[in-house]
Amino acid sequence: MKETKHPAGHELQAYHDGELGADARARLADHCERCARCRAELDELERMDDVLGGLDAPELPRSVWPRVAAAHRPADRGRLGTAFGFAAATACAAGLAIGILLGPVDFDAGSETETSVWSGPTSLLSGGSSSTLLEFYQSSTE
Amino acid sequence: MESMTGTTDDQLMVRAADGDETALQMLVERWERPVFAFLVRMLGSREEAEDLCQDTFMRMIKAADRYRPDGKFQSWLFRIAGNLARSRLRRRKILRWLPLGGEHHETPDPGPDPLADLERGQAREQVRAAVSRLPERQREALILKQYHDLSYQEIADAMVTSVGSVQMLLHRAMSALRKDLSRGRSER
Repeated sequence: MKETKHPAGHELQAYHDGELGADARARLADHCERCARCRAELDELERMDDVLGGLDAPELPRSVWPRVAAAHRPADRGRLGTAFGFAAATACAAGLAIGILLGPVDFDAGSETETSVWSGPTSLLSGGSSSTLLEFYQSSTE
Repeated sequence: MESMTGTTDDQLMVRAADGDETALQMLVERWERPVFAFLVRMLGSREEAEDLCQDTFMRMIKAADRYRPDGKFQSWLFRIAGNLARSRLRRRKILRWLPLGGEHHETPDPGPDPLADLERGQAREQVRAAVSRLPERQREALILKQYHDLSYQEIADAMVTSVGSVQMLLHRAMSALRKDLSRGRSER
């Protein structure tokens, strides 16, 4: 009987994985039946499968669904966006108001400067209460 | 793939694309474990894998209306996860081994047959390490075949390549693993 050529390594791998077409499968089966070297190679592939299969699957600690759901819901994103926008606008306005208040103060003399450009309520410059600040902020943003 | 309720992934995807959140939740809960396991094995980090697992489903949602229900959902989803993993690896620019979690084992005494030792489960860390040292694409093909039972065609779809390339990648991965494990063993 004529000795067939040894199959290439990738062919043997595909044969082992059951991925060859009918003709190629029959050819390799025929060869391996008569070839100790290729049979040994197939045994090695089988053993490698066992070795790799012995590793445990990593366990997901917790479902990702709650985070995925929270991130993708447009309604939530809209609400979150609005809330964030309002908070940011308030912070900016407060920062601006404080900046305006502190700007004209002469820290050396502890009194109002002559070059003040302040045109807002004077009560604010003389230590207005938080309610006054709020009123001013509201009136200036209307 | 059929679930207990008999709804296929494709059917769920069509419903999810129409805004059905229950269908979306079913898909995520059905696939989050395999996707996470795949990402851990690709990246070697559970923390990063969890982040990218979430990202995978976010991208799935974004692309839901472009998905064609042709029975290749698994490949399609692993393509997304694989792209994210490769992108993360590129960013890290690493070729080093990262611990894949789990317990560390004592180094066993050398026996007469390296693979016999491995089969006894005494050197899982060495196997994990050897897998993580494989070149990226070889590792991806091997993981998809070995741990997710994808066919060559499904792997080719997931990796956007040909069946012939998958065959070569798997052969090279197996050869490299055998060499690596044998060398590691003889060096101890």
